[in-house]
Amino acid sequence: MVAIRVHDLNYAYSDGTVALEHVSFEIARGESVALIGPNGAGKSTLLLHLNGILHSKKSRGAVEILGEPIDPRKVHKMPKKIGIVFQDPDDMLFMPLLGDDVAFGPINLGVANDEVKRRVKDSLERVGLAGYEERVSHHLSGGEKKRAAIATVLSMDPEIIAMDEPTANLDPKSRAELIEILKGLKSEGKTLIIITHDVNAIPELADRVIVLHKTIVADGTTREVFADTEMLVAAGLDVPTIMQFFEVLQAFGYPCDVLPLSIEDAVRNLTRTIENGDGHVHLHIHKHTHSGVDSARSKYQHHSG
Amino acid sequence: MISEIDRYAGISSPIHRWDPRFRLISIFALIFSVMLLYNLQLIVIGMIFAIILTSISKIPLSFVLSRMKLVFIFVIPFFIIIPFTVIGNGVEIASFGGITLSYRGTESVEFAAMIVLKALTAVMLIFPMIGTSRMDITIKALEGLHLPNKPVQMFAFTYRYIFVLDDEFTRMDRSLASRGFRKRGNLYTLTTISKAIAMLFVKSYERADRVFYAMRSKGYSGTVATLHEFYARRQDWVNTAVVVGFALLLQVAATSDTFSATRGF
Repeated sequence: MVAIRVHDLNYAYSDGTVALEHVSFEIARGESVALIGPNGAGKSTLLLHLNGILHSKKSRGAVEILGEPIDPRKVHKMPKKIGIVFQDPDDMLFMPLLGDDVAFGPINLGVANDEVKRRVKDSLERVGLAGYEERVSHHLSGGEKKRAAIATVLSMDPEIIAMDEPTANLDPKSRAELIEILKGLKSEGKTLIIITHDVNAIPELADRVIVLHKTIVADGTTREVFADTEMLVAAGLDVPTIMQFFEVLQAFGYPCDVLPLSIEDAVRNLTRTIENGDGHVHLHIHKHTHSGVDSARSKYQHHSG
Repeated sequence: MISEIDRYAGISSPIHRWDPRFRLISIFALIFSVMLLYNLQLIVIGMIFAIILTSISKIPLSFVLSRMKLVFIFVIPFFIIIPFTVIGNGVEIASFGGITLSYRGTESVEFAAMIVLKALTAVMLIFPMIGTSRMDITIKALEGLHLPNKPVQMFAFTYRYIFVLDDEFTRMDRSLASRGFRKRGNLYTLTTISKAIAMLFVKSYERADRVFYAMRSKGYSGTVATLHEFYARRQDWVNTAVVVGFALLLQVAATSDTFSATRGF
């Protein structure tokens, strides 16, 4: 079943700047999709169309969630289906206490009091903030706020969760914890759509990548999209560092048809290559090595000089 | 950093243990009652009661006084101006180009003292009223009292975002300072600061939009509901009877002949 269907979505800001142009895609239930694109590409704007917060004459009927077109007058009924985690947690944590923030959504959805309490406890536990009900949000750290913002959406138990840069501005540990939370949601079968600039996290989180630059530039499996380096670099984007490194290794003679996307991939790849090579990897420098390394490296260079 | 009025919400005192709904209503009634008084003796009695309440609440006097300092600076001009301007015909002291300065007798001094003391009493009572529980509890108490939802929401959001705004302003201030900006008493300082404040308004406006989006994304359709539980005990009623009773007593006393009213008009 289709979770999100966007068909020919167009949107322009009030000053006339075009934000989205002929955007069309479909996301199946249980799929986990990374939405990437340069700054100002319209990613956050697209996200706000998914529950009808942003809408215009041109967008009427363009977005369907779980088979139903969005009615902008019924935005308050959307969280049952789709929850959005905003980029800045300070926008999401507006109640006096964290527990109230997490309870806010389910109360609005008319969930019974006892069930609200259970969901608050459960959601905070799932993001590793068990017992934070009585905390005041302006005293939380950045990483805690990000996780708290996710808890406020989890408590509504939506089928689809859309997130705007969940791993941005986090320290490595908080980032790793957040990725674990997202992986957990993915394995629970939630439909995820994640805006991110964190290309190294994508292979772990998403099966599919959509590149947006006002319109859809590319849409395919993570591997397919990352294989199109030219398109990514033209859009001002990157591929995972480990991919770039293995491309350099290829110039040194490392036999590798499919570049690994993640460290796990790389470990598997190396193990296989070493086993096939009777316990060794052969790297060498020949007359084309340096030009090979240079060309591999220049592929990902964004500056023109 | 904006200092929080609820800094001493964590300590324990009879006022802290008082059900916040009852406490808000009772002390509010007392503030109102003092405000309606036009007799210096009664106002002084009210002020003494306020001091007693504040000391029972165990909020440090230094904390209260430091906050009241600002109010004092604000009301003291009344004390200087009123005796020379209001009530009856006074003795002319001097005249500058049409403006006559005249002393208008002890009654006007008394009137000025009443205004200053009433203001100080009201501000002092704010501390036992809302300084004795965490702000979130106070907001819930307002909801518990079934006050109209919209003003309560406005109050709650103001409180929530004042800290975000303050942080934002601090960041802006630091970024100005780190680029060599020094506050001086000149036009450049004024224009720079006013531009920074204008920027803060624009940013707040945008944030307000985003917060509203976030609320709508979480099913908001006009009312904010929270889970709150307050249980009134006998002691809550007793406290309420004492404070509201005192507020009423002041009003009864005000109507008697013993305490004559002094009005400025």
